[in-house]
Amino acid sequence: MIEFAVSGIGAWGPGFGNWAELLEGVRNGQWADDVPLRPERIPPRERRRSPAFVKMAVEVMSQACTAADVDPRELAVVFATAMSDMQTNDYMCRVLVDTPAAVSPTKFHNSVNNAATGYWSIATGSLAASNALCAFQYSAGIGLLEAATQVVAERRPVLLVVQDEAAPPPLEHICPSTVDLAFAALLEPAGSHSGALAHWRLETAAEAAPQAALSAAVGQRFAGNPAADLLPFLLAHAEHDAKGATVTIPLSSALHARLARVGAGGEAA
Amino acid sequence: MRAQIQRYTCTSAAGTGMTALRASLAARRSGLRPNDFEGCDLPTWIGRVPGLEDIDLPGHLLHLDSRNNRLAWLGLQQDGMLDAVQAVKARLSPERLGIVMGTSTSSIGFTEIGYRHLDEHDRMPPEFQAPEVQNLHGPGLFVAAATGLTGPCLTISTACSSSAKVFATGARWLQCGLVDAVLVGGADSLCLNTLYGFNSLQLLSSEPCRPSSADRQGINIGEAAGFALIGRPGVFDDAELSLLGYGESSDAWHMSHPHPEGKGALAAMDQALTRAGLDPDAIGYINLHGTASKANDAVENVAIGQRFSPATRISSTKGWTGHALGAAGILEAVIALDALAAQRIPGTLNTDEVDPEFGFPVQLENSEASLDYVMSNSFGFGGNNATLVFGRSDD
Repeated sequence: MIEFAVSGIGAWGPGFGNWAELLEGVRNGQWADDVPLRPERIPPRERRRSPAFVKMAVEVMSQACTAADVDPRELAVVFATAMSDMQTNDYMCRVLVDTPAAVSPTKFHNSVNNAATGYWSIATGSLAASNALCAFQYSAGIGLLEAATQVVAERRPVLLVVQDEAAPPPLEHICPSTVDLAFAALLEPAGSHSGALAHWRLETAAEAAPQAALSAAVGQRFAGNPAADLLPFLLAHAEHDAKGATVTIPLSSALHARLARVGAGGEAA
Repeated sequence: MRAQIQRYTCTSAAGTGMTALRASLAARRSGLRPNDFEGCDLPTWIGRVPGLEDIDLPGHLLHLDSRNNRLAWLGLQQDGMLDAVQAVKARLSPERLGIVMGTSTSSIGFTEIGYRHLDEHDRMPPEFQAPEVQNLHGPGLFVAAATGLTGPCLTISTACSSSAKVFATGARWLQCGLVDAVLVGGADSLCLNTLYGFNSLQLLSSEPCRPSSADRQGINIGEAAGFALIGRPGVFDDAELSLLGYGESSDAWHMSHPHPEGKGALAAMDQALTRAGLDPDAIGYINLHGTASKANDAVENVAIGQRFSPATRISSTKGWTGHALGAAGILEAVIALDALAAQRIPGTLNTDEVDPEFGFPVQLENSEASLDYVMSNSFGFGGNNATLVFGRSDD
């Protein structure tokens, strides 16, 4: 049985700089001006070297930890992305065409898919496990699955990050994302956190369960960014009914994660 | 937590499949060669898998063609791995069988070619567009297509620890009851991103790499594909070896330089020992990350010296294979597993004398040994560390 609680959420994207602003936009159509990234948590030397893709991650990870009131140094991390750091990969591939010997060593080490978890570890002093994974367009659901199985198998909290950025033109045919979008959620063992927002049970199934689609305006705002697949699950935390909500996230063309809300905050079912 | 290992295989410059690898190890015959990778004139040595250029994928996989996927395909066909997967698929249901792959760069070599042909709108022409290939999950998608497994499928990409961590994720999936068996593995192939990238960090050796040698000059980049079919206890009746423990940690130090005392590396080894319920002295052999970079080999030796006694023998096999980056984890897990199965430890190739600064002895010669438990280390950029411990299933 895969059960877990969610005790904090972070969000950053077009028209919102945090979870509250995202809810305001989704509910009332009131979107904020785009919020610049200023992840003070990253030490100055690393901040200068870190790309936007890393800053997005550190921003939402910090938000989720603050919301859940937990010490980031102890947290295992699962980082999930469809396309990783496309801006840095675009730089690498362009330089390699004409002047390969001019590759920047900093950009090269930033091009690893786990750059964000590496900078996070340096920024927080965390020696905890970190995973960085991809499942192409199914990365949001697979990331959630990996985080949830870690919570159950290791009986410890896991900080999940799901994000992708806008694609540069040469990569648009792979991922038609036009916006930068990052979410984080702190998952904890069921019943372990008195301030939990909700408790969930996860099962895999061949069939998707029916669920309300995002409004056209919201869907359009995030169109093409695979991280948006996590949004229905996150938004379910803002609903106040204790039980019964279900959310489906695709894991592949043949498999879905079905999430049933088994309790509100505080206690597990 | 235990995961039984029904079968394993690997393909690298030191051999396509286990028979060829064992022969290379026994003959102390390196697979390294002067760099002849197309489009790259860097003065270094590489661990290229010969013949990938001439492999034809079968028709149903042709749309996924790339150097990396050809390497995965070649690896999958060795040692009966594909047949074993088909047999378990026929016995259990395909949605109860997962795939966890590891890679650092997937098929970015194919994307590199596309960048040479960008049109006036800065886009790739149609013949260079292959979305299912040109993403980091490429190896997972390819293996799913090649095997027909329909359970959960993901690709771990944490630089050079990627395909060691596949065992940890696979074991957790088994423990949670999500699946009955998992095909874990890795595929990482030569490309300009990593050749010129490591060159920019001045980490490439212009000679065959010499792990743990005082005059080691850096790494040789290699390529490899490897797989292990793992299951929860009881699923296989012929699985003699098992994953007993794993450790995953971070360095909290630097993006491309290991912690000077090996703090994160030691944390990974300690976790793996704890999960396996073993004292350090129980480990008969450690296959080192052992890249032959100045920093890695020194730090890894220091870390091991803090925990182990010379009852544990250690060596690096990268003198045979080069550093297979995202496939190094599976490649060296398989070498460690085979050492346990054959009771034979590979030494360290190309190294005449161990760095006198090293406090912990490094095994240079091949040897027979009585092994109960073995360990494999994999450390990556971003300070991402993974350690695996294997033993016998009936232990």
